[in-house]
Amino acid sequence: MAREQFQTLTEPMYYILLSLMEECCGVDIMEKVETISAGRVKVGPGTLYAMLSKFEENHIIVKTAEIGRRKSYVITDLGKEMVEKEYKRLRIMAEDGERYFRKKDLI
Amino acid sequence: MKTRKREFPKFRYRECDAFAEYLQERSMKGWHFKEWKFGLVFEKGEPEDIVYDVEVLPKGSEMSLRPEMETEEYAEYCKAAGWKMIDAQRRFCIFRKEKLNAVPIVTEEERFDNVYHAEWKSWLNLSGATLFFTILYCMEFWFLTFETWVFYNVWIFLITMLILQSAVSIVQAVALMCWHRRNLKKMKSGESIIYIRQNPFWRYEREIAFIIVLMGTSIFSWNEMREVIPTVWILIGIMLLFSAWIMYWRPTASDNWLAQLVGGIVIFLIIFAAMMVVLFGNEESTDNKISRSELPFEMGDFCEAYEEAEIQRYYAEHSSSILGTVWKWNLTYYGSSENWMSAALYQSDKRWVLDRIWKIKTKHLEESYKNESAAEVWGALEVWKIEESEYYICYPDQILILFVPQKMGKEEIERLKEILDTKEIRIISDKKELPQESRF
Repeated sequence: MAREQFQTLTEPMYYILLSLMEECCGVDIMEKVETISAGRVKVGPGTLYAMLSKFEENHIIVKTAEIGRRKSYVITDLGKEMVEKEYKRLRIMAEDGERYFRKKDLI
Repeated sequence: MKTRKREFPKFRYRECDAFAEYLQERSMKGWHFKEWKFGLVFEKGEPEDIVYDVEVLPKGSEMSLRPEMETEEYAEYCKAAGWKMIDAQRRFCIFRKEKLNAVPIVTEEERFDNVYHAEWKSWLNLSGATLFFTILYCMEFWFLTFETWVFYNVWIFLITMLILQSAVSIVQAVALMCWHRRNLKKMKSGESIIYIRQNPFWRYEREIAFIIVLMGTSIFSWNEMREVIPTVWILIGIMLLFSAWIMYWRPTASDNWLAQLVGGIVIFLIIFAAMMVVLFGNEESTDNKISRSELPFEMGDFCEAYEEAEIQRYYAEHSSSILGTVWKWNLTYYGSSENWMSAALYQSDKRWVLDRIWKIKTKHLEESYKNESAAEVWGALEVWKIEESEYYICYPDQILILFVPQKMGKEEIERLKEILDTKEIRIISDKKELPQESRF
């Protein structure tokens, strides 16, 4: 599994990684994502579970604690790189759009 | 008043929504799904409209009959989201909705992938072995043991059933791919997929096939291997009980593999022991032995020198199937130790059967043994001759392989040819009355 699938991140991926900028228990991520996105993005538990295992396999996040069945994760440097790249990409897209819309006086 | 009941529905992975609906209907009547334990166990309670979600796990094993550690972990996440896991088996995981606004466990695309992946794994689990053994046995049948199987109806039946089952498996694989394509299109066009009950036609195919094989094998073996039948039924009974116990015990995948391995070895040992008893304890078995009067011919029938000869001992075997008939016999006469005759006579109205046998029998012979003039003498299609005492004779509807203690002269060949020409042997094969002019 190479990094191709992580070239651009989907919304759930993006928000999950944002939630893991600080150490967070896996189970709490769903709530955190909803909070960060102001209720806009909701991640299902199955989706989250599959994604966390994919991220861990690709060293994008790392497990920090394991108490019984509750595992905690945090993002790695590689992960931070990816999120930052995505953030920049989205910002450029928004800026380009803004210019266009301002030009056309549509805003 | 019953507080528990057990049901045995059969749902496939692509019928998971129908499964959830089935559980919901029962809950509305007061029967709530409790667990899997050799079937689905329901407990009586207050009628309640419970929303069930039957998930198909992306990871898992067909051999896993209870929630593994990964599944328990998965369930933790689902619990936090408002879905409580009730039980899991193989790749099925059953949840009930606890929170009203619980987010769906997986997205539509993920669900579709999970179901498709699980369906393939399930198909492989069921059909992988079937296809493998079909190819294996067909190859063995054609290249190695052709003449041993083709004259026994029971083996022809089994091989045919095996091939049919493989054909069914392939059709099911194609049907799965069509299902995938159809629903992929639906999903891409924005439609939502509901995993409903499919055509019930295939649902109990394996069970029906199993019963047919069991009955058919018993019926066809009746004439040829009668003493084996009770043993086979007992063995099948043991295997079924074993399967039922596994479903009740619900082992994890690794325990299941171990149990099946041990079970397989035990059953193999039992079969082996039974075979030893049959082979060595029961030499008097006369299932396909024939009496001397039923032999196609003896030396004395065509060779003057042996007309009065005494037979010290003889061994003879005969078998008949829809594809042909075979006799194999050897006779030892008093006198020197070289005084014996051995013959094999194959009859069939299917040319391909005889061709196959001919090829197998002459495969190891040197090309130089083929004899054109002998073919003319015998009036046969082909004759291979070794040292005037070993003959391989191919006619359009029969093959004779003959080993005689001394050289055969033209007269003797003529007489034997007559015996082969007449319909006498055909009558014996139909087990009708012996011919009037029988010299036996």
